[in-house]
Amino acid sequence: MPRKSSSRARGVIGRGPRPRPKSATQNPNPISELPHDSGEAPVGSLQGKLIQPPAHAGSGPTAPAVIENGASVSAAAEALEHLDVSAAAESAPVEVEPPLEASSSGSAAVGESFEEEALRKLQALAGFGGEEVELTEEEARANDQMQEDEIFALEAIFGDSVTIFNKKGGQRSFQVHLHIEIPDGIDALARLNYGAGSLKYGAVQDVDGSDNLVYKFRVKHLPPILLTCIMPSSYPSHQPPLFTISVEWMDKMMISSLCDMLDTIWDDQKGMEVAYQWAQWLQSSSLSHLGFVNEIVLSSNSVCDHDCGDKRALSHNAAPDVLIPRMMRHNDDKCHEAFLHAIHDCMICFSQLPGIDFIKLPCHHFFCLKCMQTYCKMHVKEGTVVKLLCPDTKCGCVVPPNILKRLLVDDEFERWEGLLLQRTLESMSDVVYCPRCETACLEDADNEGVCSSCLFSFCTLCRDRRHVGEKCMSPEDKLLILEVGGLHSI
Amino acid sequence: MSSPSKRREMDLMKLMMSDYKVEMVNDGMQEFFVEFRGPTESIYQGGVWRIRVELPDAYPYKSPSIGFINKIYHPNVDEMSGSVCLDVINQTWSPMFDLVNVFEVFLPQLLLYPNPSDPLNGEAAALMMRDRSAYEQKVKEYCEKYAKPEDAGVTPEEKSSDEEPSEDEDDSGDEAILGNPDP
Repeated sequence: MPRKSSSRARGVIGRGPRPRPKSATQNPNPISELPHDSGEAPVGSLQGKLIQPPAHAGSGPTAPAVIENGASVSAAAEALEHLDVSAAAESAPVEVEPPLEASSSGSAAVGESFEEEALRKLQALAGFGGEEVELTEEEARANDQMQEDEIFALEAIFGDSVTIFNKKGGQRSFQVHLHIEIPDGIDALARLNYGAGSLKYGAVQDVDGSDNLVYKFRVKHLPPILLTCIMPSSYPSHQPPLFTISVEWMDKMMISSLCDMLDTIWDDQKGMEVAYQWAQWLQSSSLSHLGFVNEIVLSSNSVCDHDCGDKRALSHNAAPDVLIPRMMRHNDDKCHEAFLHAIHDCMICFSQLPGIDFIKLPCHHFFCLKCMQTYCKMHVKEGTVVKLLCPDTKCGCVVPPNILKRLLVDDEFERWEGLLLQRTLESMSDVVYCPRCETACLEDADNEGVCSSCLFSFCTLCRDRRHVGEKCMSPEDKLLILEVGGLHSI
Repeated sequence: MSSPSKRREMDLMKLMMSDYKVEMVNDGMQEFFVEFRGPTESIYQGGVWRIRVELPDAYPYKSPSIGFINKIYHPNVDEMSGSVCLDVINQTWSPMFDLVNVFEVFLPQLLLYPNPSDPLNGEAAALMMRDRSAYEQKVKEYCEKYAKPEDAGVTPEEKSSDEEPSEDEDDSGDEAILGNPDP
């Protein structure tokens, strides 16, 4: 009996609880605890470079507002520094809509992750139906078996990166995070328009965009490409899987180009399984396909709405000031993960240990836990706390308190705090100690001090009661008294 | 202390590999002698000294102690005992420094730029501040009298791969004693 493939449902898929993707979801909310011991400030400090293109000579004499390049550089830099990486990370306009199931609206629902969005849109696309294919029982069974094998293989190959959803309406579906790693790193460039749009000098708008600033930064890990597929029962004999591709950092055009390529891959070998090949191609060749060989150019145009381009291409159109820190944060997290799992040499003791046994300082130098502990304990014991710096010979970065807290026991840490306070006060030349209660006070220009604790007003030279108008004792007298040991003095 | 011996071994090995003539005192890797030449383009040029290095227990967290066996005229070196002022070493010491650093960087720096604020040889410090040329003269005198290659005779532990063409010692060189100090 021919089985109709209309079980590829209209709306059937949408019912029932939506499966939560069990793969490690990339948290779109970048405010999360930094897993590693960096005492550094949160994402506000960017480590990229602001490149200013050479000022173009073409600005005509009638240019109305001559913007100083310097001022605009600092304005843009400022904008980047005050990054608001808050929960409203989704740059798409947030509409409060009732949680429709197979909703085909263009924007992300409130609180929806990229993964959920990708799945939802795919289901919407599936809901549009298409040509129905009549299958023989044999074909159907063969397809079913091949699909099962392919899913099995995907699970084995991608492990935690792939999520296999429950079969709905007889259709298999999955979602895979394809991580792209560039071992030597790659530069990413983002064009920043200043002002509401590009500047217009006279009537000529520079197509090259050279009035824009280019922000450049380097990453080794890119946010993953999300490929979501639904396998119809006519796959692979007659039809390819339905898919969506979602990439945080690419624009619609780029992703559409990728979609085209997937179509081509299917066309070249119709009837064969293609899901693994798609995943493989996306992971290894998508960058070069888009021309991102030596560097990646992040698109700055967010003009494309959801009607242009391929419907299967899901872009997020985040503005540079949201996207760039996200990408950098992702890169840092992945690099740190890689660090933790690899074996490294401690440059102090030369032992080889896994990354988890290391302490990483804010300056990115790292040493093994034992060495850092010995080092810090020794300096605290000896009192040379000013020397509690990064052991690297040229670095000089201070070991931050949170790391010390980890390395030292309570009373050692207290001792450190006390010593540091003492050293700091000593280094301040206008700090004197009250002759009566030893509290630290500030000295003013007339060599007078007032103790905030016991309210004693004293002369800092002779350390006696304040004597306005009267001459203080002469240096010789003071020396005499000191030698005899009469007065206490610092 | 985390595997102190591995670090010591490595450092000692590196020092020997950098063509320094090293003489061990015993197998303990605590103490040894090194032949050190005055840095070129300094007033100590041409002088050869036998240096005694002692690695404390807390090495590399604490700096090694350095002592000049034959005499040297320098504000930061005690004339009688030859010890180099420890504070001066400690100020710049870091656990990442190794023995090669001491001989390639630290000692040459010290000889080129004495630190008069912390003198072990007060007379030398004063002379340096007062009359630079007289100071330099005296340094050279001492080099002539006390820092000849014979005065710093060191028997090499390992044969260095390339012999130094300059005034090398009478002993050394050919009678290479091949032996590994560490098990």
